[in-house]
Amino acid sequence: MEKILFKHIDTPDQNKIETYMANGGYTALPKALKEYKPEELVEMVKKSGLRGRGGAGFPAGVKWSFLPKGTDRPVYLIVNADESEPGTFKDRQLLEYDPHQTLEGTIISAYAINCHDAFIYFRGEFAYAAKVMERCIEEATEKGFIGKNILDSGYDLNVHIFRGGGAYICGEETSLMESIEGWRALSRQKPPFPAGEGLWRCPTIINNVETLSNVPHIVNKGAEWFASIGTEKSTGTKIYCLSGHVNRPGNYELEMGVNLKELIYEYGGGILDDRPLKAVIPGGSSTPVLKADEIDVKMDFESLAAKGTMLGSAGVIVMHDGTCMVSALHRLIHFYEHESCGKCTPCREGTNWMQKILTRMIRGEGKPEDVDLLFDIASNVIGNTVCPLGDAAAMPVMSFVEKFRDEFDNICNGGKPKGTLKFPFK
Amino acid sequence: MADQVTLTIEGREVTVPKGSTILDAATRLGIVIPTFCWDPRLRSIAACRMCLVEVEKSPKLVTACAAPAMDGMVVKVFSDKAVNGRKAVMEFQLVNHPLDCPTCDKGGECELQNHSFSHGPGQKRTSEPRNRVIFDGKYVFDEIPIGPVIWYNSNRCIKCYKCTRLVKEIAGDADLGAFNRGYKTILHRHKNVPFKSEFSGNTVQYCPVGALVADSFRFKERTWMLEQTPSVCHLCGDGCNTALWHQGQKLFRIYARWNNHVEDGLICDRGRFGGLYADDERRLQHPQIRKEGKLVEVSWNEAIRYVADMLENIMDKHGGESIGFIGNEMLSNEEAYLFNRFARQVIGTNNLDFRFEDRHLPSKELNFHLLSIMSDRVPYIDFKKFDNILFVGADSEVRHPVLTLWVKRAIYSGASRTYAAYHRKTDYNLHPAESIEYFPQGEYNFLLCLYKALKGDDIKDITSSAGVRAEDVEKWAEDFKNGKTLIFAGEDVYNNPRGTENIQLIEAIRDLLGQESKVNILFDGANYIGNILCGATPGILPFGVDNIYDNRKALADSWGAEKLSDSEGMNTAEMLNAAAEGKLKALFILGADPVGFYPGRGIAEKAMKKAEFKVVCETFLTETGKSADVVLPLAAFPEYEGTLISTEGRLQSFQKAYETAYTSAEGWRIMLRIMQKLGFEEDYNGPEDIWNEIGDNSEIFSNISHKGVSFRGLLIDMKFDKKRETDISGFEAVEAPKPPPEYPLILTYGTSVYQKRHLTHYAADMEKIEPGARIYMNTKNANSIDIHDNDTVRVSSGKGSLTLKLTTDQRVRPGTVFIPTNFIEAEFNTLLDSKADLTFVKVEKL
Ligand SMILES: Cc1cc2nc3c(=O)[nH]c(=O)nc-3n(C[C@H](O)[C@H](O)[C@H](O)COP(=O)(O)O)c2cc1C
Ligand code: SF4
Ligand code: SF4
Ligand code: FES
Repeated sequence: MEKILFKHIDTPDQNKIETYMANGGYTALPKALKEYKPEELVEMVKKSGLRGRGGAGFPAGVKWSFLPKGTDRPVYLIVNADESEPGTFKDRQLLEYDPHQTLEGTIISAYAINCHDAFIYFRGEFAYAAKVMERCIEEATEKGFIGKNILDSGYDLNVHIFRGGGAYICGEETSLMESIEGWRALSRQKPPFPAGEGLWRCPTIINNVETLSNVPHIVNKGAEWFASIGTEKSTGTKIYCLSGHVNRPGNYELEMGVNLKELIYEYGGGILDDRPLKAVIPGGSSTPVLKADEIDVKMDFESLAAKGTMLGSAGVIVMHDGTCMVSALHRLIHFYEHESCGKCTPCREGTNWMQKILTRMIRGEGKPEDVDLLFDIASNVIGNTVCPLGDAAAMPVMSFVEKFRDEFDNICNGGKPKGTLKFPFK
Repeated sequence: MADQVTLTIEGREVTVPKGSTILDAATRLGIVIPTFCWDPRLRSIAACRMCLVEVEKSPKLVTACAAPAMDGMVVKVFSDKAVNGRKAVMEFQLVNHPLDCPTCDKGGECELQNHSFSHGPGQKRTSEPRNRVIFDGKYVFDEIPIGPVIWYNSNRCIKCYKCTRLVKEIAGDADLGAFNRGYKTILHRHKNVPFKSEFSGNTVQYCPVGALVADSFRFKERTWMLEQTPSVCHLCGDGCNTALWHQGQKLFRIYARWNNHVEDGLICDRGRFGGLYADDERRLQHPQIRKEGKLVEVSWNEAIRYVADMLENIMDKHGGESIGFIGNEMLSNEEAYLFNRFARQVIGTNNLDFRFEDRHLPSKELNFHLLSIMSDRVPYIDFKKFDNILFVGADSEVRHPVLTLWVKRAIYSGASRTYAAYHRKTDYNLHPAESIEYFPQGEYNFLLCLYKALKGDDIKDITSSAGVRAEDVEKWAEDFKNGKTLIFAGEDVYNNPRGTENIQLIEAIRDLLGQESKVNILFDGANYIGNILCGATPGILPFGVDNIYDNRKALADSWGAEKLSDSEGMNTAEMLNAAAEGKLKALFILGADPVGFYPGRGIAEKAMKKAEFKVVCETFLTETGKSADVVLPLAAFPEYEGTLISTEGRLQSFQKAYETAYTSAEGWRIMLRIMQKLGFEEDYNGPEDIWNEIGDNSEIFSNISHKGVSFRGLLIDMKFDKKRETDISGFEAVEAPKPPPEYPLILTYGTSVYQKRHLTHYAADMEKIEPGARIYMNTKNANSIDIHDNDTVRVSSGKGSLTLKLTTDQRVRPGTVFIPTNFIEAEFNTLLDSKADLTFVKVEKL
C-alpha cells in the first residue's frame, strides 16, 4: 500500500516549504480555493468517510456540518497537537518531519468552515515542533498561503500557535479552549458542544493533527479514492504507534483495519526476546486491554468496538508474559491520578482512591475484598464525570481486573506477583 | 409554544421556558435534587456531580444543574441508577473529608452533612489514610488564614469552586484561585496578593462546607443555637437585606438574607463584618451627666428629667429657635418623624438636620429637585437595560458596593458599558470602564463640557477649567448619543458649592440624550430619602411638603399644636456656625458626631464649647460626646425596629432581634420621654404606632402597614412632579482651582469601602482588614518629593497637620491627595477650613 501521510516522512528537509512543494505540497490548497465552495469541501470530507484520529473517531465532515449556519460570530478552528495519551506518538512525528502537510490541511479546513483564525495547540513539551511550525507559518505566509486574500481568492486566515503548560487534560477539547482563553484547564460540561459554543463561546471546530493532515490528499485525489482505502466505515490509513515488548517499536502507517496480530508480529517483528504475549492495549492507555488470545482483530473503529475495546489514538502497547498486570495498572492509574484536573468529584477522588488501593496491592498489603472494591470504584467513576478522562482511567481498571482477575486475587491473598515488576515505561 | 418545553420528571409533566435546566424544571415541581456547586447566580460548571439524574435514552446519568430541559425528555430522579449514582458521588466526596464535624463551625448547616445523611451510603468502604493537603511545601492540617478575616481549611474543601466563581464572576476580583491539580487541588489566594475583595465574606456564607470560616465566628457557637432576625443593613444606602444571627443579646454574625431584587444574597464586608460593632463591649453603658466638669453616670430618670429641665430653661430664656437638632442619615423613618415633631412641635424650631458629614448641603429647592428626579428612577434589576452607564461624582464601588454589583452584572453580561467621571479613578474592576478624572470639585465644569459636547459646541476653550481633555469628553458624548444612557449623580454632585447647577446640567444632559435615558441620584446614607420625607431637614415638612405658612398651619392643626416656628431654620453647617458664634444655645445631637466628621473640626469644636447645653445620644462615646453635657446611650440597630428607604427608593423594614443591651435605649424612646416631660401629650408604644401615624397622614406611605413592608420591601412612588423648568443657557465655566505655592496639593477625602464613620471601628474584624488611616498619593507626585510607599509623612494645611502613612496609588489624580475620612484617631478634619471650598495641603517626609 502506498503511504499517504508518511510518504515523505523520511525525506530530508521535508519540513521546509521548498522540499514540501517539490514533493507535491501546496497543490491542494489552490485547488480547494479555486474549484470549491466551502460547503462543497465539507461535503467532500463527509463523503471521504474521514474520521477523527484524536480518539473518538467522530466523522470529521459531519462535525464540521454541525456549525451553526449563517452565524454572525467568528468561527474558530483548533488543531489539537497536545498528543499526551500514553502510548501515542504519531502527531509529533508528523509535526516535526512533515509539518506543512498539517498546515495545508489546516488552511483548507479553515476555508471549508469559514474560519479566519486557526489555532494550533501544542503540547507543552513539543517545544521543537512548535518552533518548526512557527517557521512553517512564516514560510507559508511569505508564499501567500496564509494571511490576507490567500492566492487572490479573497479568503483571509491567520494561524496562531499556542503552547500548553504540559498537562494531559489540555488535550481534552474544552479544557484546551479554557487554556487558550487563559484560564486553568478545567473541562467544560457538554452540551454546549464546541461547534455551537467553543473558544470564547464562539462556534469552534477542533480536530486532531492526523485528521487534518489527511485533508490535502482528499482534495487532491478525491473522496472516493480516500473512501476506497481501509474498511467500509473506517476509511483511509492510520498511523499505528507500536510500543512495549516488541522488537521494532515505532509508527506504522497502514491501511485501516490491518490485523493486530500482523501489526505486532510482522511489522513489529514479534515479541521482545521471543517470549509469549500476555496482553495488548490497542488504542492508547485509556482503552480496555486485550488478552493474548484476543488479538486476531482488525484495527479499525468497528472491529475493536466489537471486542469491547477501542481504536482510540491507535497507541498499541504490547506486554509479554513477564508483565505483572497489577503493577502495570498501578503505573497507568498513577498517570490518571496525576493528570486529573480536579474539577469533578468522581475523577478527582476516584483516581486517587484507586491509586491508593493499587499501591497497597503491589506492596503486598492488598486484602481479598480490594479487588471487587477496585472494580466497583471504577464503575462508579465511569460515565459520571465531566469529561472522558474519568472514563479513561476507569476503563483500564475494569478491563484489567476482568481479564486478569487471577493476578489481582493472587496478589491480594499474599501471593507473589506474576512476572517481573519491571515495565518498559519506567 | 416555541419558547417553552415540556418534559416529564418522575412521571409528572412540567412546562418550562426554553433554556431552563432539568434542575429548574424539577424545582418547579417541588422535587428536590441535591446540589453542591450549583448557584443560581453563577454559570453552571457541573463539577460536583451531586445532582446526577437519569434521563431516558441517555446512556449516562446527567447533571441536572447543567443539562438543558428538552421537549419530551423523561427524567428519573429516584430510579435505582440515579440514586446509586448520587450515592457514589457522595462516597467520593467523603473519602478524604475529615470527620471533624464536632469542631467545624459549619456543623448543622453543612450541605455535605445534609446530603450525606439523605443521599450517602450507609457504610464506609475505605480504610486508606485521608489525604492531607500540602501547600507551599507544608502540610496544611488545619485552617490557614486566607484573608485578614477568613480561614481556609483545605481538607474540608469539596472543590465546588463557588468561592472563586463568586469573587470572579460577580465581584470581578481575581483574588482567589485554584492551585495544584487533581486531588491535590486547593483554593487559595495568589501569592503575595491579599484576599481583599470587599465581597470576601460571601465566600464564607456560600461555601457549602466548613472550608471557609469567618474569623469572627470561628469556634464561637453552634449554628443551631442561634436565632435569625431579618434586618436591613444601615451602613450605606444600598439597602441590603440581612439576617442577624444572635443568641440572647449577643450578635454572632450577619448574613445576607437574599432578596433577589436588592443584594441578591451578596453583601459587602462592611455590612457583614462591620455591622458586628453592635456587639462591642466598649458601648456606652449608662446615661451620663456632666457634673463639676466630669461626665458621671446617672439613672435614666435623672438624665431625662435633667435634659427636659435644661431645654425648658433655654426655651424660656431664649426661645425654641435657640435650640438646634442634629440627627444622622441612618435614622429610621419613625425616628426621623419623631425627631421632627420634637424639634418643630415640642421645641418650636426649624433648626434640624440629619446631614453632618458635608458642608455644602443641598438647599430645600435642590432636595425637591433630587426627589423629583428620583420619582423617575431606575431600579437595580433594570440597570442592564441601558447601553451606557455613566457615574459622575461618585465613588460608587466604595460608597455603593452592592449597587455597583448590579452595574457589574450589566457590564459582564455584555449589556452595558460604564463611564466614570470623578476626581480620581474609581476602580479598575469596573472593567471595561472608561474614566475621566477632573479637578476636585470639578463636577460643574466637567458637566458643562459634556453638555456642550453633546450639543456639538466647541469645548476646547473650557476643558482646561475641568482639567480634562476635549477629545475624551467628545468621545463620551459620541458614545452616549448611541443607545440609552443611565446617569448616576453621586454625592459629590449635589454636596457641592454648585450642587444646584450640577443637577440642572445633569437634567439638561439627560434631556439631550432623549426620553429613554434616565438619571439616578446616589445617596450613601441608609435612609437619606426617608429623612427628607419624614421632615428631618429645615425646609421640608413631613412627607415632602414645602415649609411655607399654609402647610405649616395645616401640619400644626393635624398635630394639635398651637403654632410652629416661622423661621427658615438652619441646616447643620449653619447650626454649627451659629452655635460657635453663641447664637445657638443648645444642641440635641442624635447619633451624630460633628467633631469627628464635620468638614471643619475647628468650627464643630467651637460650637460644642460655646453652646450652653449639649445632649448627645450615641452608641459609643464619640469626640462630640466627650464635650457634651449629657450623654445618653443609644440602642444599636439589632435592638429596635423600623423602616428605611434605600438609594433605590425601596422602603424596607428591619426587625428587632433582641431587647436593648447595655442599658441603652432606642432613639424614639429617648426622644419621646423627653418630649413627654416637656408636655407632649401623645404616646406611642413603639415604631409601629409612629409608622401608623405616618401612613395616616401621608399620601406616599398611605396603606402600607408596618408589617406590610413585605419581605422584599417596596419601591415607593414619590409622586414629585417630574419636570422642572431650568435655564442653563447662561452657564459658564468657572476658574480651575489654583493651589498656592506653599500648599501645592488639593486635598480630597471620602469614606473608605470598609468603614462607616466611627461605628465599624468597634467591629474587631475591621481593624484587621483596614488597620488605620493612610494618605494616598499618585506615584508621580510622591516621586517628585522622594517619598515612597509606607513612608510616614506629615500633611499640613493652613489649619492643621496630621502624621500618616503613605500609600502610592495610581488612581489618585496627580496634584491631589486622598485621605479616607473614617478613622477617628486620624482626625482628618483638623486639616479642613470650614470657610474655603477646597483645602490645599503640602506633604513632607518625616
Ligand atoms: C483526557 C483527554 C485527552 C485528550 N487528548 C487528546 C490529544 O492529546 N490529542 C487529540 O487530538 N485529542 C485528544 N483528545 C480528544 C479531543 O478531546 C478531541 O475529541 C479531538 O481532538 C477531536 O479531534 P478529532 O475529531 O479529529 O479526533 C483527548 C480527550 C480526552 C478526554
Ligand atoms: S473527569 Fe477528571 S479530568 Fe475530566 S473534568 Fe472531571 S476531574 Fe477533570
Ligand atoms: S472553599 Fe468552599 S466554596 Fe470554595 S471550593 Fe472549597 S468547598 Fe467550595
Ligand atoms: S450541582 Fe450539578 S454538578 Fe454540582
